[in-house]
Amino acid sequence: MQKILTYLLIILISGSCEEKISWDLDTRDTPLLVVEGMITNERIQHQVRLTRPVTELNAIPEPVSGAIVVIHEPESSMVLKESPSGSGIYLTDSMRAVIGKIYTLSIIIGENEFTAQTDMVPVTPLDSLEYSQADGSSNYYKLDLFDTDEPSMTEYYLDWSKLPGSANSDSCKAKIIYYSLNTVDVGEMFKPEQEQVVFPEGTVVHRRKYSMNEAHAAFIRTLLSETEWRGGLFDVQPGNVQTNLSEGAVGYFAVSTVVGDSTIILPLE
Amino acid sequence: MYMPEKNYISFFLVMLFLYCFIPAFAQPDLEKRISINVLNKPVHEILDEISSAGGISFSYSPSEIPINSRISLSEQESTIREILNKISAELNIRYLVVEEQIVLKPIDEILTVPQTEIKNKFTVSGYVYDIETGEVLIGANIFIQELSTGTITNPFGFYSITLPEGKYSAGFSYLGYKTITVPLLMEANTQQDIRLEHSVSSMQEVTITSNQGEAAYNQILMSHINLEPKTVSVMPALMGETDVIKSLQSIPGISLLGDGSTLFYVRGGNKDQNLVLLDDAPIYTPSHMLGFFSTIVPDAIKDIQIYKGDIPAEHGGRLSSLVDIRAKDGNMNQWRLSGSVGLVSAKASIEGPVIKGRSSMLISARRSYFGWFINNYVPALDEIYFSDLTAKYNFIVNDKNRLYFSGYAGKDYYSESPAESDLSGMNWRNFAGSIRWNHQFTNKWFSNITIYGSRYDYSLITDVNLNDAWNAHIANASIKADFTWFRNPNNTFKTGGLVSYHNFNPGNYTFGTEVQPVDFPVVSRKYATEIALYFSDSRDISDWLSVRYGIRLNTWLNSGEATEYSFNSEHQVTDTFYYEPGEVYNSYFNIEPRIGLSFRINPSTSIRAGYSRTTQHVHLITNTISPFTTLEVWLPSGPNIKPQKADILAVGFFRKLTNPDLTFSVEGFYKWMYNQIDYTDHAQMLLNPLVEAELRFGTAESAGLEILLKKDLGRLTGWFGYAFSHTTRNIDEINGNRPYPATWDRPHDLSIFAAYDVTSRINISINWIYMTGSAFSSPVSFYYYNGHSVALYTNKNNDRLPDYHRLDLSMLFDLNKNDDRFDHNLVLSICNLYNRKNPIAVNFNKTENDDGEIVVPSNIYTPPQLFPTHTYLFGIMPSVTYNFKF
Repeated sequence: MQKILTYLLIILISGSCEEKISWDLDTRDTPLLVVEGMITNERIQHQVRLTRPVTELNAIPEPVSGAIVVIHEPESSMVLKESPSGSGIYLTDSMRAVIGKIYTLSIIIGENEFTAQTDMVPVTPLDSLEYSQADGSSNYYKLDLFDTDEPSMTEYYLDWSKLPGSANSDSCKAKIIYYSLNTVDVGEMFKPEQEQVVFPEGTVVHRRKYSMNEAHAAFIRTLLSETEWRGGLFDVQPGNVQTNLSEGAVGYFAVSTVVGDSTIILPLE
Repeated sequence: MYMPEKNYISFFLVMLFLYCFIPAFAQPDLEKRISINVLNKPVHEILDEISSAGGISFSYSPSEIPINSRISLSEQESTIREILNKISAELNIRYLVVEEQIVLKPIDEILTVPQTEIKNKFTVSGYVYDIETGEVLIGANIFIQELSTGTITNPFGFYSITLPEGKYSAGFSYLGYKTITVPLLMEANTQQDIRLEHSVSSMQEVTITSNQGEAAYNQILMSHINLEPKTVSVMPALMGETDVIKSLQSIPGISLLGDGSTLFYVRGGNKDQNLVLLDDAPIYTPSHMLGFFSTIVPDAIKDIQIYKGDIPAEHGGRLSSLVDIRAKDGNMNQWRLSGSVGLVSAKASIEGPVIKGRSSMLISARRSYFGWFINNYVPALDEIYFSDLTAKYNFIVNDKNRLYFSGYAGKDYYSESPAESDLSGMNWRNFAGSIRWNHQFTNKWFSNITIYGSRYDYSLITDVNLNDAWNAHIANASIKADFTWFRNPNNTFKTGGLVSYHNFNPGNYTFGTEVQPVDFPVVSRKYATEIALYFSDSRDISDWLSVRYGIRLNTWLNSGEATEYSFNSEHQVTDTFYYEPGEVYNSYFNIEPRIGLSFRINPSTSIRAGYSRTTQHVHLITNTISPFTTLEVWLPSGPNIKPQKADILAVGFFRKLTNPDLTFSVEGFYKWMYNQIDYTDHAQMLLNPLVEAELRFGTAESAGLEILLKKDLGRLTGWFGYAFSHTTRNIDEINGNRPYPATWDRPHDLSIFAAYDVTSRINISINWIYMTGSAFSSPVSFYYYNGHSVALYTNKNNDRLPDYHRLDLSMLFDLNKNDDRFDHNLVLSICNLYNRKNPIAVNFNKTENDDGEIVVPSNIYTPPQLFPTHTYLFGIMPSVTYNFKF
């Protein structure tokens, strides 16, 4: 639908265009704490990343180092260690989250304590991976991504760097995240055109599907409103993305169940 | 929990309604049929019999009237007028209708009494017509030279003026028509229809005609403009699609959201605060193709009245403006066919007499055909088009009764069938229809009864074949009555009322199959009844002071079947209420005073002031900032949404010059708006039963100064308009409870329109518009989450898009060398002549793909390089349109 309407506008208004511009933003240093934290049901070291906002697009965020980061379960607490030192990345010991528990993240920086609380819901199995021939190219493929019955987030890691003739570099790797929210939003229905990632036969696709509880899905919906959906035909008013963190911090602390698989891309029959 | 039904309010309204209308029926009805058989009886006894049989009363001096004379009458089912005519002839007397009595006078006295001693007054009334088409002329000027007073025709072309008995010269004028002077011998009430003839070629009628003529200029009106459809026809238009709604942006104080939009804002009001009426029926969303074109084409339109404030008491329901559009009635004298062919669509109209001189009809249709071209580029596109159909029939029953039947249907439809999914699509549909009955109770009392209904219905169709769709609508079925008492040239009284039943579907998913594959939330439908009563009185207090005052009372009753929720201060549901069908569960009563004053400094200069309160019970619920018509929903006032209200105060200076013919006005206004709606960040608007929890309420204020200089006549016509205004909103929980500029706040708004007749066959018009860029929220910083660059905002609407400006040019070439019946012309239009890029949005989330296209990044393996982008809709846009008429 979005594509049709875009075509329509392009044809109807032949001169319509989106252009790169320079724009002087009235930026401000906002000393907010940005939290990216997730623990899952995998017994691994999970991480919480703390940074500060940036005032320029594409700038590298300043890490927040020296914070006291603790994850509380009902019966125990775990202090995370910053690793490497000064990176703003705080790691748990090897642990796994379980369904039915409430997890609380606590971050102490100076005299300020920021907290977030959440729980975990189960994830459903992955559907089979679907892909099809990329537009205008018989040797390349693209992923066909579909909504799931329950809110979820699926990460796709694609790697064709090891294939003969491919440069062993980051240009032959890709990471795509697909969110399925089960909400009806005009912004999503008419979102702007998204970059198409194409890959050759033999590419290895690793998938990880994360469950999302209701609050997590609501957060992701607002995140997408400001990112992947922003700039569409029926844009909504800009606004700050939701958070489950207290004291004015931004970002989200999530606990998810995860399942994964790996697939090698074979020629289509 | 909720307010109970207030029966006493309804009772009060009904009593007031009756009180208002009693005077209308107290006038002597000379058309009433009675039977009388008397043989050689005294006149006074016969008059008594007529009084009792006809319910009328006589007034006479026994010393002047031979009431003891004996006469005989044998009348069966004759009108009182016929009987009185016979008595008058026999006794050599005259009868006059004065106020509520029939006054009997000797003939000689009437004709010989000196003017200074005359107390009797008589009324001349009738219709003013275009002599060629038989169309009534709205706002035609009637001016009595001897008394320097006058009136104008009402929206049905009717006029009535009451004068002391005597001889007068009445001038009848209408812009673009020859003025005629008619001698009036005011010795009895008379009906006089006037037919005016065009004075110039059609190309010279390019003008806006507010305040034309002395009487019209002396109306106590401000914040009002009359936009001629012919003006719209020659204004440069996008792709040649002449457009009534888009032409409004040339009027100071009215601004459009942006290119590709029919959404407009008036004096700081929101986009849902404008009432667009087509023959009294509201058109909720007058747009096609997401708003690139409007549903209102000038071909079928006779008159466009725009009220930017100071809305007359007979109208209500919206806070900020009224666009009152009247469709053509149809040519009463001959059949005419007209049409046009442009780049986007073709139009055709046929009009003519059904019974010559008594009834006529009009059918006007438009259908787009650009879909045929698009199919070549987008094979997956199944169908795309828009269409309009306007039809009207009017019938003159007799001198006192007329009937009008009007209908409009407009539709947009797109469908596609991409290989991987089912046939899906979207549609938008507008319907409006009205039946109007004009009736003259007397030559001073004019009434119009209207039954009307309208509906706006729109769907997102997920499966065309299974008929699965998200659908929403707003609709009404209404009846209203308007009564006008043309008491005398210095006093016009209006009263009337409205009962309207509204129903709302705020968006629900429906499946064509019985088995529903997905369990979507159900959003409760809403129903409400609106009852309104009004009166207004317009009178000249003295030679220099006129006043118009009125009041509109309205009651809003929410009724079932409905589910309502109550919310706590955290916007969480605390209770749920179910109401049975027809059960009234909530009501609002509002009083809307309207006052206007005009101080005449001299015949061509006046200072006017006005205050009005307006109330609105239907609300467009959308948090989009897009200029396009989208899948927004309408909700009524109810337990959780209070009616929007506005107080508007305006003061203006008006001056009319005759040589050159110019009118100049400066108006200042201040507007306070209450219960204004905004939305929490990223509100969930669709398929959300708790959508009211996403709304936030507060106030808004707007202040401005508007200047308009117009030239109405001559080879060069046009106007210069400038408005300076500022609109701020203060909504609870939005922007930290601090005031912020409205998105549509555009402090500077400048427009210049000029049309010039180069020769009798070539007309050139230009239109230049300049507006401050609209306000929007831009980020103050960014943060990263899961590979996304996320914007952070502090103050709402802290930034502005670049200023909007555009020059349009239009050239009309009349292809007729002679004054043939077949009239055709060619219009070349160039929109955005200097190729200005007027952005509709600026974003900070795009990157460039390998093909150099601007896209949202998908691959976040390495951080994508983002940059700011702007989107604009069109650059220079030429078009050509061929018009014909015969």
